[in-house]
Amino acid sequence: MPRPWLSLDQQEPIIAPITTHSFWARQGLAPLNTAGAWGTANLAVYVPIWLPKPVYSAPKTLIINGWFGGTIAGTVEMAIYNCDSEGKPGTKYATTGSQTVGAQGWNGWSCAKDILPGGLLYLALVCTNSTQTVYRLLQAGTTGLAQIMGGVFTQAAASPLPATATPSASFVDCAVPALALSWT
Amino acid sequence: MPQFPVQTKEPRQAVFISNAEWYTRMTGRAIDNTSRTWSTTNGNTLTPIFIPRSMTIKKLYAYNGAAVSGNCCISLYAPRYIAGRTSIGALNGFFWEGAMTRLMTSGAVAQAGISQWQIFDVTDRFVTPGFYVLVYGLNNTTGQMVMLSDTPPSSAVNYGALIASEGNGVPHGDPLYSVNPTTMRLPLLAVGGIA
Repeated sequence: MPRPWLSLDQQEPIIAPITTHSFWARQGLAPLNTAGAWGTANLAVYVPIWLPKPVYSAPKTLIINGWFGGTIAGTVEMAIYNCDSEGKPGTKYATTGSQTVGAQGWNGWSCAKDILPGGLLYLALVCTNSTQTVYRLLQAGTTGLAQIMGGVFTQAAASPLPATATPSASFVDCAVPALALSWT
Repeated sequence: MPQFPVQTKEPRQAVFISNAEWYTRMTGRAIDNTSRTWSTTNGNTLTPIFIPRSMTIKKLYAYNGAAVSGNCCISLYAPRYIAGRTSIGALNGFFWEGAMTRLMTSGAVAQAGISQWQIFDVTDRFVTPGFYVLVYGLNNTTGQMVMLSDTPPSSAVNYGALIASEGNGVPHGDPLYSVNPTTMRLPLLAVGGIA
């Protein structure tokens, strides 16, 4: 007797934009949604997202978006990382390169990547100036709440964003940024 | 056309999984996220946690509140399911009757670290997808924990939490369990996959 065929379309749909908010909200924590200073120049913050299935987006262009505040200083870079064998941020998959924030609000830059693997990924943001403001899910502090509830990792002196992440083993105070993936 | 990426059967699990995720899904509530005293000396709270994919658990976590005191114990159990009982915790159509097989435990450890995660290094254990039970106990009512919930009975029951009482707050065997949502406090706990 033939088996019923499970269509890939029966998987969880991908609804863009895919934001770091969604991963965060699963933990029952309300996002701050207020702007705060980045705090530490060249600190990279990795925030997880969940992509329910692989994406081949051509001819659409992949955009990584960040929600920035009114104080604009230095440059920023955002990137997508896959995860390593433990689930921590692993290898850089796509990057916006170094960019200057245009104005307060969502700023997005394209990436030369039209294929994304499914599953756990990380969106990373690094700001070269500590006074650059970003809209935050939380100001993480060093208690580990954001890190363990939200799966957030940090890495010092990480501009430009490294090819392979080496996240800090300790809880570092940081702004957990609101980031998103979209296609255009 | 570029080669299409192959979806693994089990995408990598998030490094940390807290009991807040299942609590929020089951109750629709934001977590209490407030430091509160432990409700019962030597009381143990059994909180369900859903692990959607295979992972190796290397650490257990409990988020301490504004005061710490005495000894605590945190353990991970496989649940015992039974059918036909509705007076106890309900999980997504199944009924469960408390924890059964202990998979890992911290043993009795001094509650330490105010308003931060207390990290318990346990023997690594690979677990398959499914429901598990994180059990936390404290041997006094002075120590505080950050809670998923204060004492809303409906939330506790919807979530499927149970409580147990056993000497010293250290469940070293099958915990004894009883349902008393009016005194139930649900601590924020987590499992982690990094060393």
